[in-house]
Amino acid sequence: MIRYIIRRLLWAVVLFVAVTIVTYVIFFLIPADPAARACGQQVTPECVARAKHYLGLDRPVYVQYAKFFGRLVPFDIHGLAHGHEPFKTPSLGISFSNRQPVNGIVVRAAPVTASLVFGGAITWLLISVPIGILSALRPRSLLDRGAMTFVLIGISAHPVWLGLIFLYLFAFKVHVFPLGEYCNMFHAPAGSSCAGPVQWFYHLILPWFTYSILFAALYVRMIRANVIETLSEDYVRTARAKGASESRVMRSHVLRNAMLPVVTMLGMDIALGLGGAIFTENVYDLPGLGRALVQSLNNFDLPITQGIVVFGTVAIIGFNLVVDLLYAAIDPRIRLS
Amino acid sequence: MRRRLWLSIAACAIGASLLVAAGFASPAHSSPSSANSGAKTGGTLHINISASDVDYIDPQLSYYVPSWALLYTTCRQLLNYPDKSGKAGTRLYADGATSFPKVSRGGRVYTFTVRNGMKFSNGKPITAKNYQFAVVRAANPKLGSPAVPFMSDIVGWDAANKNGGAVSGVKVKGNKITFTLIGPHADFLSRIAMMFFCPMPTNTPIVAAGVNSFPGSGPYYVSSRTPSGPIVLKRNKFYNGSRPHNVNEIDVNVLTNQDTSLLQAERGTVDYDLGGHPGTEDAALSRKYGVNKQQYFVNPDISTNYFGLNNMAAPFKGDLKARQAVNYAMDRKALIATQGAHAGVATDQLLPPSLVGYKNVAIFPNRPNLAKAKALLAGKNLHVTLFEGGSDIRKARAAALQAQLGAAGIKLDITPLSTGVMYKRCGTKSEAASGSFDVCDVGWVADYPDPFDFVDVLLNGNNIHDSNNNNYAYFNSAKYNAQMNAANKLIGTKRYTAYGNLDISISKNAVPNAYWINFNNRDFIGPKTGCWTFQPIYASPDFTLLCKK
Repeated sequence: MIRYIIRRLLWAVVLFVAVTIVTYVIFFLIPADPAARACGQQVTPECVARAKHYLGLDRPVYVQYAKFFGRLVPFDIHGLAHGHEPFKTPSLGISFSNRQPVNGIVVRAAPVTASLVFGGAITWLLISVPIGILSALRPRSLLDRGAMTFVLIGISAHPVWLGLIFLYLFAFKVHVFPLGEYCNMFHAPAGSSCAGPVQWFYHLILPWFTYSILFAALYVRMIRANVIETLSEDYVRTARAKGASESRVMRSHVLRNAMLPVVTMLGMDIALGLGGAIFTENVYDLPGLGRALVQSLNNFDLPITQGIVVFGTVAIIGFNLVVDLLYAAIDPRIRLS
Repeated sequence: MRRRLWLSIAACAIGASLLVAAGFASPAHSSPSSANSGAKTGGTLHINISASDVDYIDPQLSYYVPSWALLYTTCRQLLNYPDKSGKAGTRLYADGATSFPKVSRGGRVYTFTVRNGMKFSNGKPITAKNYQFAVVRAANPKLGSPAVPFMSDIVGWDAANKNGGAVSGVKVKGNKITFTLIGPHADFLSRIAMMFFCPMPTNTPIVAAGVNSFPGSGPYYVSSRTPSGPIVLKRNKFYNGSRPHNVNEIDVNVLTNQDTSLLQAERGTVDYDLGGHPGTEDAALSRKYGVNKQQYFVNPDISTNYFGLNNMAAPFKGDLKARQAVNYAMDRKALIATQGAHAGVATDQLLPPSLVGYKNVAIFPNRPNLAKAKALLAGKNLHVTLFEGGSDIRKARAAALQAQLGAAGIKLDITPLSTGVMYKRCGTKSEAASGSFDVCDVGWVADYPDPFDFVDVLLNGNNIHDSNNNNYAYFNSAKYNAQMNAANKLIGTKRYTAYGNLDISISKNAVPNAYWINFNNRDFIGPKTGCWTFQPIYASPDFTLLCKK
């Protein structure tokens, strides 16, 4: 088990380096000039040179990357050599566009995205598990056909379109839900009185539904297929022949096996959910990582883009590791070796 | 049966919990705004800035429209622009100074007397030293301010910009502040009124990130700002000037979604979106609310958009007729139609009508004259490349231009780029010289209301560098360069007449570009928002005047 975890962690470091290098290379292939942007409309060569120096863009790409990586590492070798603390806070750098620390931007945005993604995951499970199971138990019934129509719409409809339609119908026309905006769970930011768990929940209901419909549709289809397949397994027939109650057959034999792929997918989809969050966050004005990412790309702001990539990479690696461990725990046939 | 019952109960419980939560909660902005209905003063303005954040809220660092529109409420420069719309809003008046400056030594030395009794929002007095500090801070290399190119004609500015410290050409004696210039430049008064020269407490840090709040000298002050997050402006209780201050607080949300923001404004939970609304909505909004009546407003911008024709490489280099042919083949009205309703007015010259010095002359038609264009081409087959800047409205006008020029026999290839990349590549001299582009879709918004900021900045060949050029035509005529330099030494009516004549002469006889539109600002405010006044210099509503109904 420990050898497995160490191996996975080493692979995670390799993956992390590869992803950050690719992001760097893509950024430098784009012929944009953040230094010129920093100088405004009336740009002078002197101003650009100074901005490049301040932003560190006058150094070779590999030096910039090494500096970026050095800031991320929590050990301060230089400090240690001079008798200072050997540890330091990892830094994601300074934004090109507003010269603010990226750590703060990511730390402020991450809880918003986490609220959306985890709440969304719970929502799509609440939608997809009952519908998937019922569809499988009554194939070709009215419910099953309705569920398949939902699947078709859910997979086809873009979250931006869905979000705008939901906002128009449920917030603008019928004043049931708020029109965009995000409320913190604990304290209200300056200029807002909106905070607290109830407001947080209330303001996220529409975003959760918007975010989760695509995933819910995919999960309905998968759960239905898995349950139908499992229902025809020999061990299910044997359990019934031995006189096990229908609920026990479903709980212990059908669902336990049919849900294994769901656990795998759930882990990956929560990690990948950052991508889907971009659309939902933008429609509902949620100040999360997705919105920050779009803004940083518009501004050619590599440190913020890279900071969010780092955060996303760590999240994906972490979730995949958790899923692998969890998978071994719930399926005794799998051994981590 | 039990199974289905269990699932039904679970589904009901989830639905009920959502309804209960909805019942307890309410939209965040509904209560405070309704409490102020009917009031002309007091209350809180809720402003969105869709799709972007302010660059900075530090006056010596910020440069773009949204930040200046907000800072206009917080700053009391020596000279300022009145809280008025139209031409009246572009005329400078003495605000922090007691009067316009005394000018001496051949227009090189400007002496302002700073008003007594002014205070920052923290209660500390505003003196001439605070104005001097704003200049010193803007020049300091540690700050990296975009103000640098605007003040390099102050004695000692370049040295301060290199080494930090005082600017030797800016001296304070009592309540007098003196600026000594290297040479006479009549647009100095417009430049000193820029937001960069907002007075600041002398202990304001000079750091590259700037400050996110500072004591205000105008009717409001920046109470707080979180980058990529909210900005809060509050009333300056120590402000004793004559400018209005209708609401108590201005709350700004950034990076909002334009479509959602428009719904919020229509419903009244948001008062205004500084980031604009979707261009596709203008026709519907103007039909529903009328133009310049209650909620939907159209006002001219001090800007010109044009297709920069690359004068540095074939086919436009040295071929006046080819450049004229493009201008005759263009259907300016059809191009404008691609930009949504009330987008702007057609133009064939550089200076916008709302700028002093502008003289209207018909040089090229608004509708195409294909016969004339073909005659100018005299059977030549032009094949040109347009660098286009990525957004939907830019794509729409590029496609329209392609069809229009095609009708005259000019084949236009479109290279789609993002806006930033387009400006970068079009501004690179080597790209122009190698002919990698022939046409660029560019525009210019006034930094300050003086024709120098258009004619000289965009057409003076002496300004061409290796990169980051604004002269996208790479127009470089010794004759016109000399005339521009001469015009910049003039003052008053003579100056504006000279620039107006230069604009006409260059647009008609040299045809460096194909000008096509002076854009309008199209604004929408909420039903509970009143006291609308468009401030033309800041291309935005005057937030000191906006009020809650």
